[in-house]
Amino acid sequence: MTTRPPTDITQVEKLSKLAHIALDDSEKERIAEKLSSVFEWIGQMDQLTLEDTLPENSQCPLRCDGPVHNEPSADVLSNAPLKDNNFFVVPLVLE
Amino acid sequence: MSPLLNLTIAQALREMKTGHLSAQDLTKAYLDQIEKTRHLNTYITITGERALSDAQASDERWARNSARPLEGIPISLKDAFCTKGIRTTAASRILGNFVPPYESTVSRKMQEAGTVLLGKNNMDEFSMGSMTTPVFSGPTYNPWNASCIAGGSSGGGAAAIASGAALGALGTDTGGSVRQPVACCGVVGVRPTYGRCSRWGIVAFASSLDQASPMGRSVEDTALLLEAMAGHDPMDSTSVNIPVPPFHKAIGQSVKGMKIGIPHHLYQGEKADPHILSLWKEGEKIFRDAGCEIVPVSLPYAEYALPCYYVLVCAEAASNLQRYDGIKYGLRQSSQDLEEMYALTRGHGFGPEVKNRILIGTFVLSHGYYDAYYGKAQKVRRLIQQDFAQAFQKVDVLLTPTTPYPAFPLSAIPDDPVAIYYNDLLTVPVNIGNVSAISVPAGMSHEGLPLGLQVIAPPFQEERLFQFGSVLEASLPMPPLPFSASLPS
Repeated sequence: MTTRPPTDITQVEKLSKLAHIALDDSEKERIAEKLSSVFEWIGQMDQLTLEDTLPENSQCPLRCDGPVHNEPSADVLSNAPLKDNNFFVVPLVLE
Repeated sequence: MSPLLNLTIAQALREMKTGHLSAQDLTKAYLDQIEKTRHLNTYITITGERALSDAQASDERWARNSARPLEGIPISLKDAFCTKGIRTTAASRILGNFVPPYESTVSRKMQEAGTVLLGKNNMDEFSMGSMTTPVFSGPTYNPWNASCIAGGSSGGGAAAIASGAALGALGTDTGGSVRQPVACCGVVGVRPTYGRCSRWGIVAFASSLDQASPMGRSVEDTALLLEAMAGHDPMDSTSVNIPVPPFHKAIGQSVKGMKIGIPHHLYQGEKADPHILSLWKEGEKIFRDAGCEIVPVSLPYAEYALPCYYVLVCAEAASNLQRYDGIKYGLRQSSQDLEEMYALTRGHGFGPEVKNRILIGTFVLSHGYYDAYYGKAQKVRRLIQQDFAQAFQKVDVLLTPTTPYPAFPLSAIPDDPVAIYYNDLLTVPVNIGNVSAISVPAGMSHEGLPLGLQVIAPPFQEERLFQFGSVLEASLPMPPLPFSASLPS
């Protein structure tokens, strides 16, 4: 039997932190309700006996791991919300 | 309405070849119709100047006898295909101003085949949905009845074709996102086998299931589009290096002596619409009359395809969409703290359904739950693939309805996400089973909305889709496409 996820607001807050998504209080309530319904429905797979079944495991074919010519840095930076010369700008990480 | 809008792709090519039609006149007719049907909200971005320039170049090629396979055909692209220098939003606020510096492989191949780009179609945000009701760009309205959904996620393209605002369109189909809207809008759509077309440059939703897919007014049109789209691409290592057959040559080929499998158990009981069931029977009769043998088949694990699908796509979406961090491209909310900036950007940039799915995916991939959810879904996926493989040892194709019910009113969208996921009941098994399928318009509901039948073929046997699809098309005449619809007052 699958462990049911606790879909209360505390759990939604934990998931939103893991997923880096800020939510307001009304969203947390709405999402807790919806996730509860979705996980109950997903639980129907618990009816299956799967101990002897291997998971689908198609291997993604690998490409040669070597240097390639990348896009010019001006193109790469063209959509950056904040940039400084040839660099992306991020909030200060190290003091 | 211009009479030019009545031509199929195949007919328009013949007219241009004989000099009776110019690509510029055809393109202008479509651009006019796009203006007349703006209220249906089928486009996010219209590329009128680019279209006229493409069309002029096409006329010059026709004049020089150097026309390419789809020279001068006006098409549109789902706004999930990255188009160099043209805004690509995936109907999300987080990509609201994104202008790709590169072109997706499939859209490049369409350019190289000579098509004219009319614009970028509306869609569900990041292809997550089956209604085309994104918060960012607003809903697309069904041309047959504008109070109803167009289906989704590629609903903008399907509704554009049905309203005469595109001659063909490309979408993506991860769980039915082309077949479901084409059924709702009374046009044709094909989900080729995963690996038939390159995914490079398509805004990712669930990478192990996403596949570029053509939509058109006729079965033949979708065959012509797929021939131009398909093929191996070194930039996508999951695209398969096998020859692309001339799909259109399968149109009209006899199906006599072939076997049609009917998985009755997929759609029966209280939830099944009697009218759709009778349409399914009608499809059986058409093939029986064409000399086919009808064989009942069972796909015992396919009833678990929907929950299996939602675990897998949410897991893959949670992983894929981590890239939207407010640094490299897209929206950014300001903060002095890096973690807070990520969270504010993503909280503000993603719509409600995308947030739901990322949180579900984050949970099913988290420590302690991975085997219970993702691992289990991967096992169910294998069983469903085995179901299809066993069925195709007995039959040549399968026949099902495309959708469990016709398009419903925008005012009646259920609040429960599970009720919405049920839209994909009959399309999702195809994606999880790694097979191919076509949806063909098959009749009208009592409410005057289109319904579709779906033919399913083994992996990389898409010729059968066009062969059997053309039999259905010839035997199930549909009313003319609406080409317009008034919004409800």
